[in-house]
Amino acid sequence: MQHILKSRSTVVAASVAALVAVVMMIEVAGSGATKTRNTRASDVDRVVAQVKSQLGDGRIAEATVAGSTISVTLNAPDAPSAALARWDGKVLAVAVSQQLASDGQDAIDSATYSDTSGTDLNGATDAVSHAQPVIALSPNSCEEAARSGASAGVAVASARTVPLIGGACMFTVHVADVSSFDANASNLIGAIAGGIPDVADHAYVFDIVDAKGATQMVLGWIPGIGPGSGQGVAWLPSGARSSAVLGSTIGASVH
Amino acid sequence: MRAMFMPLAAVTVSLVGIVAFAVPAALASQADLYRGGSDNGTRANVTGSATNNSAGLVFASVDVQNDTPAGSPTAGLQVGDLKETSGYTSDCGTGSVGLASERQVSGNYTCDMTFASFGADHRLAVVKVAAGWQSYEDGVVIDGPFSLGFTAGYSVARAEAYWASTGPTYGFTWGPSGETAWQYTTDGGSTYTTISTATSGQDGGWSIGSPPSPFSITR
Repeated sequence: MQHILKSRSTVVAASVAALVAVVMMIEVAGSGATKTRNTRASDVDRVVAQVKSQLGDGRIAEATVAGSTISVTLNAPDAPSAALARWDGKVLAVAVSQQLASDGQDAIDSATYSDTSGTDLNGATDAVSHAQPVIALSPNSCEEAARSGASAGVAVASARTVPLIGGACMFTVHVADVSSFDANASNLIGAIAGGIPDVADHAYVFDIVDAKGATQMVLGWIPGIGPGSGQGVAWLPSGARSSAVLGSTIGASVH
Repeated sequence: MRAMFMPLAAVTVSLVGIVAFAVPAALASQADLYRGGSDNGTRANVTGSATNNSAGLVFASVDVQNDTPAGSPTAGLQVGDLKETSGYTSDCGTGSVGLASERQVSGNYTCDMTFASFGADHRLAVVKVAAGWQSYEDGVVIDGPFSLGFTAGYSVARAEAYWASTGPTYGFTWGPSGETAWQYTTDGGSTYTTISTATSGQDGGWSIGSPPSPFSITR
């Protein structure tokens, strides 16, 4: 069984046609192996569709599960989009892994991410945990965290609590003075992120946009990714520095 | 990007637009010792202690990057002891404590956090092997391999700190007596050479010792 599963890639494009085909295969297939394989495919399809719907940003194109690895294809036409899409892809990887484990199937343990032209967006394969969420966020946890940040003077344009992997937060923050914000981003973002209950156990992402709506910083966290307690991701435009990005101050004022 | 922003805003809770920043500006500071240009790995036992005396973080690492700290590095890998206060956020998480392995490629930063006791004495290393760049703790791979777009660069011993009001108390040693000194490799970790001279740089407020190990960076 294991060999059969690992020898066949399962393409999950989340189309209606594919879902129908999978259901038909389950109904007509006579062997347990086929049923298990297609149950796995159906589970993956379902999670991919759910994650795409919940995130709602169109950045996940498709995902392919082969053996214990999920390969996520992302719509990433530019660098900031790629950074945001990379966070989406990691959330998807954890969601699929958790769901398969919850269903008693072989979980995935690694993930790769590429854009639609096949370019690697991560520079490495991620380790993926299948541990289930410890505590789920309540429906408005992220909105409440955003309000706590507002008291610190952060202009949060939008906040969403997404019911994925135990609750994930998506924030968009408008900044008028990007360089000032960057310099103090660790405190300003921290004023919001610190308001997320059990923040280390929940994924979050901040899309920092300027007055023209252009992303100037991406900062996120995903528990269940990486070799340890979780993985942080960030993106800055070339030459930008921020107190919220460790190492980005390299070169600043060093003499 | 704007096209994506509009539908997002349409389905999310709109919050108040406050433009003034009430939180005091964070201060950032670092102290570095660096050498090389052709190094594809560096290592040292690193140990010490530090206290965040206000919201902020403290970090002690070894690093290889594709330019000097005084230049314009665009890629690198560092591993070190990190301690953030709760409610302080970086690309390594919010309120994180442990070993941080952070890589940079062209503006994209990724930080893998591993459970560890802050400041405990461990041999930390980053090395480029055939499979790619990897981070090590006591000779065990804890992160990688990564493709970082460069094959050799500068070895750095780094102290880094951010704080909101009162700066940290900081004292870390690279290569305590009798343990692995701060070293570099140019052959992917087959052989190491103890670093005896390095260039120092800092933003101010640090006291930087001189290699060879043991040396300390304090403030």
